[in-house]
Amino acid sequence: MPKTLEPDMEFVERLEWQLASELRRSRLKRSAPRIAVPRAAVAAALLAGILLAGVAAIKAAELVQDSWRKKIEIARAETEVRLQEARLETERGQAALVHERYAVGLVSEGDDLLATTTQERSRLGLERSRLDLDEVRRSGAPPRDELYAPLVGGRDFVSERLQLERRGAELGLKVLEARAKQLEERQRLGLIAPGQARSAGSDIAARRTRIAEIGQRLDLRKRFLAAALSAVRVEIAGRLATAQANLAVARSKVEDLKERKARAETRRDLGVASPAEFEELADALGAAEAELKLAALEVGILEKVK
Amino acid sequence: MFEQQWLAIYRETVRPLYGYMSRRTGGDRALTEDIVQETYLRALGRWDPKALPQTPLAWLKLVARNILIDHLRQRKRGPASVWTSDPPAGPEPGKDDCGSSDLFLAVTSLDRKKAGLLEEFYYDGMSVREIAEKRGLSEKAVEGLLRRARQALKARLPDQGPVGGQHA
Repeated sequence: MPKTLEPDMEFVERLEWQLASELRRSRLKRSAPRIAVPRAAVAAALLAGILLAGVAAIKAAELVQDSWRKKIEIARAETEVRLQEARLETERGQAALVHERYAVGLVSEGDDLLATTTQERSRLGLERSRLDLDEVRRSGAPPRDELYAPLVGGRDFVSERLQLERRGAELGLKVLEARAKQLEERQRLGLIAPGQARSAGSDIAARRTRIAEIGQRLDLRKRFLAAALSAVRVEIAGRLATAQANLAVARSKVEDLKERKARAETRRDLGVASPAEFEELADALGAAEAELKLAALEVGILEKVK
Repeated sequence: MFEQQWLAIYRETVRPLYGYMSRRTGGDRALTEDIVQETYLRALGRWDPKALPQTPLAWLKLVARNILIDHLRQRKRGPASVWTSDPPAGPEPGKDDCGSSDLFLAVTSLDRKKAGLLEEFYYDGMSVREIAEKRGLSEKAVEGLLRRARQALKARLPDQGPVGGQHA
């Protein structure tokens, strides 16, 4: 046989040794004793597996749910935007009509101002609903108004909403001031009783209190974002600002109602006012006093936990 | 017991298998050893310990042949190969002249009957009579079949001169 057709003895022996080793290894593998695992451990492992699978399934379901929740929230916010757009369109038409009538002297300046302000309010409402939609699209959750709410995509929606709220309140103030002016004019002409003009002044004060409260809230929000206040502190301070504003408004309302009640009492005694009018004012005063007590109580509690 | 049986088969088959493969690798010792080793390792993984093959050498030859064909095809496509990084520069001195790997690949590309006939005649060194006896044919028929197989092979090869009628 030619030399090349014969393997080297070294190769044959080395391969035999390798095969024998492999055979021994596979035999040991086949006959390796099984490690005894306690049934409890097997059960625990199975349970852990099932739980993990369950957690994974719940997580997946949550993701689906979150996706649906987000879609629902966006749909809701989009609907609100459409409604506000429709409302603004109507108010715009109405304001134009009132303005035409005012131009020809059919309606008063106050009516014209009211129509214009209402239109402005609708515009603010539309801005607010668009703001909410932006936030929902970014966060996938309903808009948050808490002073300690985090920024959403680097945007401070809370402050933006507060600013819109302040603009709305300022618009209201403008209307109240115009009405007060009108009442003062009527009073000067002797067309109305003096108390009515004072009542308008009370409403203006209350509105200014509200505007100041919004300013306080904006300042608190700013301090929270600058990390000068903790979430707890800013929440308490925000509530306190609202409670103090409520207290001031309630106090003003009580004072106003007391005065009106006294006038009504005099008029009733003179027989120019009906007892029903007096009773109505007495009831309103009772409710306002209750509100005042409640507001004072709230302020007291918040002052303590501050 | 199984191990002993296995090693007995190895000792009985390693030389014929090596010779069979060496003829087909053109005497490339390194490649032959690699393929023989791979063949036995595959046998180790596939043979059932309770039912070893009746004709282990036939199984080993078939598997080794397929491994070689795969290897040569891969080498032809590119340098990547499981065993030898470079094709052998040429036959070793004193090798049995079995032809190049291209020739072997061309043979294996023929239909099974022609390829088997050529391999038996040229690579395994069987005579026409032995082939005729093995296949139950007349010597004349075997010669005719060999002639047609050679013609078919020639058509598969680039122009390299006549394919001879002598044992390689």
